[in-house]
Amino acid sequence: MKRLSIVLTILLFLYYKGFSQNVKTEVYSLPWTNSKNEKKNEARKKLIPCLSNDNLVFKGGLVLYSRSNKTNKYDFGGLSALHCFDNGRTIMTVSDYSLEEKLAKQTQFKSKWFQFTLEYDDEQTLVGAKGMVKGQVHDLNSLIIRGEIESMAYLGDSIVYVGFDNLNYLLSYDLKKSGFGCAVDKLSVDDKQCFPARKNAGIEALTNVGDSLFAIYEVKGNDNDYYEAWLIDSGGKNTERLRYNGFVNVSDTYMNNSSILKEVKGATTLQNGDIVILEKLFKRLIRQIVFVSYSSILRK
Amino acid sequence: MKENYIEPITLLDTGFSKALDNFEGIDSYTVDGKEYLLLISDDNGDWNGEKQQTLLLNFKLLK
Repeated sequence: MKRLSIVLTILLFLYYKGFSQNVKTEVYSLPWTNSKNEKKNEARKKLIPCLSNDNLVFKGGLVLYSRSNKTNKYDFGGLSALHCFDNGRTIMTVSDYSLEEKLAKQTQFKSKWFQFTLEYDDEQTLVGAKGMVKGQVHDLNSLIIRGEIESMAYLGDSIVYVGFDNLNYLLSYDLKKSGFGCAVDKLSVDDKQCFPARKNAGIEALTNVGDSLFAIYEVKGNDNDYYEAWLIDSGGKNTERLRYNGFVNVSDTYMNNSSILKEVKGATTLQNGDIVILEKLFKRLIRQIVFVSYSSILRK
Repeated sequence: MKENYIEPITLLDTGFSKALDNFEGIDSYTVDGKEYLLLISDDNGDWNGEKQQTLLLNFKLLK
């Protein structure tokens, strides 16, 4: 009886930790104006005209839901970065359940890779997406990363780098050699002292510039009027410190309002070398996003 | 280390809206010589999907 209760305890512990649950998560999509939230649907329909201008055209939006064989509502979400393959037909994303302490203790809810197949119509309007888990994200010591992955960038044809909240280094993964397995290398961004002291902030914008990586810190330093940025060569030998002067065309009313948070959230490199950066202003659940681009990293 | 300023040009400014979710990821792709942006949002663990959702938006760059 005693042995049986010990065995049961161990099994329950392993189940809690995520073993043998065989959770299979599939992700499906609905048009973002036809989601399960009617109020959001109406607000999005009104917003659509504002998403096109002389520079770009809105070409469809989706809301992504999970469908788990365990009907576990925690098995999908927290997506903070993505990378496109196959001319936009495939994307890879990663989750970051870093704020959810109760979930981060359970193995199955720690960082995961997700891969999606996207569907477009003849006008290249996004009309559907299907996705699934490709595995959990492991660090250099084969331990599952708890969360806090916030950015992703690709170098070459198989190396992906990820950036984190709070950490001053990147981890790289060689998808050809080890797939979605363990990290293969660690790349320092800068000295810890250079990172502003705010919890849950980090390298949110990360993209490739030739053989190097361009990274921007999410928030301004305590005494700075700029966002710290770095140009990091993949060998980690030469890192150039830069300053990103974000939110340049946002009104002073917002810029001087300290209750409105202003954060740099992502970056991508275009074919001609231009870099597009995603900036976000927000106060609670009211948000503004800004796409900015600059022609190249010029050394003045 | 050198210190350089980078000044950007604004492509899109949505203004404040309750319709926008917590967008945190962006990447670009090319089809038939045209370039596109994909944007993804982090639902911050709002798994009932009542206030925050996982969104994927697609944009075509004109210039």
